[in-house]
Amino acid sequence: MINVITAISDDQKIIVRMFAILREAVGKNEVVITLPRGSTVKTLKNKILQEHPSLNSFNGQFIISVNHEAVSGDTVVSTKDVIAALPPVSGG
Amino acid sequence: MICITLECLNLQRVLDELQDNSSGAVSIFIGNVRRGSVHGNVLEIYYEVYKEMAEGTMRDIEKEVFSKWNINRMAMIHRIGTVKVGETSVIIGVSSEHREESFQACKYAIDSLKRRVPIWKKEIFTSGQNWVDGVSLGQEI
Repeated sequence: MINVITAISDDQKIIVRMFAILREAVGKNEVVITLPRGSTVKTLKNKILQEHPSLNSFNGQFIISVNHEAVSGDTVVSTKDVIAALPPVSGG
Repeated sequence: MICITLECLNLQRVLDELQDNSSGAVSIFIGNVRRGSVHGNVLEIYYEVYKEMAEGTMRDIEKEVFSKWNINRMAMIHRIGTVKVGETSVIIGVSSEHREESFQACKYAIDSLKRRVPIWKKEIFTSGQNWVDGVSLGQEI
């Protein structure tokens, strides 16, 4: 029983805000991804692509920001972070 | 001055912000929505922003400009939402003692904004629409 509880608490739900063409592709302002605690940005991105095949056409051409900053793929994410998926920018 | 707004941009407000009796030069970049696109005649552009991150990145660019050039004042304002053809979407202004600093700083600021600030534009045509290809913010995976 203890093992079961441990297994459940080892997962975390990460909310990922979606912007622009990515938001339209998934049809939502945000998606919720379940990941083991200690997971990295790289793992999160792969899981997003796995659960939302409509994003595969972008060929990985988006980044994950953590707390409003572009970070490296080995950055660990947690439920406390503000996370977003951002396609290539085109302001101006 | 850093500003992201849904309202029409006011050039006079930017000029007032840059007014400084020690500045002999003021450089302004104005970006307007143009009709022509590889996909056809544009009616308007819809701009979307990740505001919290965009404001932070614009403040970073402002700090960089002040550290690189001897300038006195600077303004960066970007309109979001729907902007019609002929209307202004972005204004960058820099004032400095002499012209060379303000020219260079203004170019650096608009180039950096277009490459680094999380803003996206979608061209709207009579029939159809298209998200404009952009620049990846880059991430080492």
